[in-house]
Amino acid sequence: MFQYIIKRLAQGILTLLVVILMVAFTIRLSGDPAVAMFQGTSGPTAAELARIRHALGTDRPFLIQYWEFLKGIAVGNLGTSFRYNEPVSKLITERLPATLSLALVSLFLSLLISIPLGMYAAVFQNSILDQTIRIVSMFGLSFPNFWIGIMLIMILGVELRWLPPSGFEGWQSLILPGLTLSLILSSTTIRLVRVLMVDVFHEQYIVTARAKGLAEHTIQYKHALRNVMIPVMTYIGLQFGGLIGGIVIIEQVFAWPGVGRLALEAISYRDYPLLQGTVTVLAIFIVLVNLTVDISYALIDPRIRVD
Amino acid sequence: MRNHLLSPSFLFGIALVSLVVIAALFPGLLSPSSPDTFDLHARLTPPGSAHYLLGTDPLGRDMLTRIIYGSRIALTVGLLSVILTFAIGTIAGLVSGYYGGIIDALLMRLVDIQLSFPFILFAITVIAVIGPGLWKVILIMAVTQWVQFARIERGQVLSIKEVGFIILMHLLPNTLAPLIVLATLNIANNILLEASLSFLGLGVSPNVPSWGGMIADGRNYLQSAWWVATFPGFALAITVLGFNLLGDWLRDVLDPRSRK
Repeated sequence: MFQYIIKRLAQGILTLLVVILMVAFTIRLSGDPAVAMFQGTSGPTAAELARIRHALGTDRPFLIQYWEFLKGIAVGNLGTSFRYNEPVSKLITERLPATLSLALVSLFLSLLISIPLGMYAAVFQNSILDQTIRIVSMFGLSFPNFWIGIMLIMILGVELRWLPPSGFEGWQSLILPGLTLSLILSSTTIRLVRVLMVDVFHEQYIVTARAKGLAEHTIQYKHALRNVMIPVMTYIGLQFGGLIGGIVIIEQVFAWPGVGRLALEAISYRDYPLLQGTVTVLAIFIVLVNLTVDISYALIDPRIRVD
Repeated sequence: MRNHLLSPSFLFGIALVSLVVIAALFPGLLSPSSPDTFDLHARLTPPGSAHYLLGTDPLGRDMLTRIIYGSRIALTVGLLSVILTFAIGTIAGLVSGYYGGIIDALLMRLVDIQLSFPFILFAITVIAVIGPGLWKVILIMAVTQWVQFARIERGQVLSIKEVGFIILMHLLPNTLAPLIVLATLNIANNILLEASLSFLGLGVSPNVPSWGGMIADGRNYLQSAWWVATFPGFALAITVLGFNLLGDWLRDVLDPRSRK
């Protein structure tokens, strides 16, 4: 068990190092950030460029810069944003709660949608509702998430005026972007819940529970659902990376003041330290969540540890 | 086989995909005008008017025509990226599965990394630096996605490796079945990814009609002109659904175990 956790931790750290290296290397390919940063009206002189390079640390070899960046991450220093002239870590910390609350609301809503519907579809296999759920989730996967978001804005925000269409005006603002992301997530989770439930219904202990004369809803909720929850939670946890990818786009659609939008702002202003910082922080979150899911899964289910 | 060809997912899937392929190959046949013709007097004409079945966009260009031409970008990106990914992934998987050792260990680490770093995040970082463009989008997809193909091919090779090299070469075609399923589903996925990147202004050039870019154009007119953002979404869904249905169908045909 201990060995498994150590091994999984080592893999996670290696993944992070490579991802951070890739991001740093890609951004280094952008050419000389000193030229991008120069604010003067006439062209920069060599001396001015050298001064900026020295201030940024880009006059040193790449691997040294990478090492400095890693050391910076350890103490929460991600450099200074060109555009805002403020520490990148401060800008990200301000925006992180918005992104994380959106992620949590989406995960919660997707469980709220997919577990009852998936269970219903499994209990009433091949009923009209089961077929409808299957077809709707197939369609749901075919539309791009940003389009679904725009349709929700148009119908619920602009036309019916039930919910704020975009921006941040209190907790109601979380509903539309959260719903958009959770609909995509639910399309696959419903199918998973249904398949798992159908399998569980054929297990011996369910047959035994039936034979004992337990009420059907007790069997469904107490015996079957409990056993389905572990793989479902694992699946949802492992979707976190994809969810973050979706959040980057959905934050843009809903003008949501999160880290994803900050990254896209950084691109349009060619603010490379800010872009590197935002992408790195999001990657760290994804790796940490994946690691937590894997390790807690191993703690719950001993069969996993044998690798 | 006859049974398979009559399955609803095949019939529906092939119908949708054929529609999109015909639109992409012969856009002139179906579209009423040309994608760049604009009429500033007819800006944001609602759908159902005499000249413009699906209405016009903010520049007075015919929506239906641009949607038909948009199929070209979607299919080009979907097909070319998957062909490249397939080729790189199969060769890498073969080498890794057959020779094992350090190449194999390296591949498995790459798989881990690829799974924990979402494509959109990687793509926006790279495009921020090298700039948008059709070929760049295709290459970024190939660079990030080949590992999935390599992993599956590696597993396939490992399962038949003991038979010796000559026989292995003969058995190779059999190992491709799961890759073909994955490829079909990846076409759908990459069409969605291209739309996402173009929506963010990081995909293909804004002058080329792309469904994602058209939806982005419509965002500023949600109150006055709902059709600009709405219709390209349906075009995307038709295409993606078509490939997804074909992928699911292929899985049933090629892998008898998955049949219930």
